[in-house]
Amino acid sequence: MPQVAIDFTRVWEEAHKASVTEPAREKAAYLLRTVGPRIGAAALDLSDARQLKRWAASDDLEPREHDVAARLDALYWIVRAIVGCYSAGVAARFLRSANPQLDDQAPLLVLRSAAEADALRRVLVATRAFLEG
Amino acid sequence: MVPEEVVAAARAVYPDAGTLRLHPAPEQLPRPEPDRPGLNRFDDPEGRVAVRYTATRLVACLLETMSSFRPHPAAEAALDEVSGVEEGDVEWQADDVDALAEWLEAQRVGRVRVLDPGFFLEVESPTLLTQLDKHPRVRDAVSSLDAAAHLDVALLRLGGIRLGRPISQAVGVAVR
Repeated sequence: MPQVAIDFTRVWEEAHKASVTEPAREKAAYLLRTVGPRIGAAALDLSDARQLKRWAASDDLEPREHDVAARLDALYWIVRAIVGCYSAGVAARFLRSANPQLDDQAPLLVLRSAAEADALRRVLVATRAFLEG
Repeated sequence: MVPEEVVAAARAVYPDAGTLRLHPAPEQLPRPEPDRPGLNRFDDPEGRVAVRYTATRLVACLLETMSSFRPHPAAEAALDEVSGVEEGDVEWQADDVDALAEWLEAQRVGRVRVLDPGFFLEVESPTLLTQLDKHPRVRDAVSSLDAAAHLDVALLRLGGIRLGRPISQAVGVAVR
């Protein structure tokens, strides 16, 4: 990996902007290409990864439940920021690992049970702390 | 003139040789963001200052930064339950070490030296603890834990866990 200084703040802001402007189809497709359907579905609390694939394949389909749509936005933001700084493999590893800033919960478990904005925010804050060091 | 004891305290924490920071861009110092503070910030709940974590030994840097890569059995169980994953799909294994190698390869070691120790605080000094204990915000934080308690080193060190974090955060605000 080349030793090029990464502007973490810029990557974070760009990922945020994309998370509020990109359509659900693009977010789902990006997650499938990077962390894959298993991690993507688990983090969104989908028992079947084919749902994520359907969103990625159609402009007319998107999450109907507000909670799931909010999780998709947050997960896309997180993965895009980590991929922008490191790689898809690092993003996958981060999501499935115990995290000290989440009381040793795994980010994907906190995301999948997130029913309030505060829970999503906790994972976003932990992600930003991971990137900023 | 900086008092000798302040210089000695500063040197104890930040030796002349400097301390180490592990990060892909160790020289970067993010700007404070008062409008978007970190909820879990140990000592700066309002995002008023730029925070930089360092350690005197590289192994401590690695232990701290790599603590986000520890296995989580419940997460693995949740991943195993997902259906609809087909051959050819992107899959990452729990024991994949390539991701750790990529992360490590991106890291650089920076050395942090303190050039002016004039503003160091020895936060565990008994005199300072007594003064801080009178600050309204610290009083509120300590009283909410134990109405009869006064700020001491033990309470201050509770900031390492969520229970005591309001105290360390209140102290972080009060010392400014």
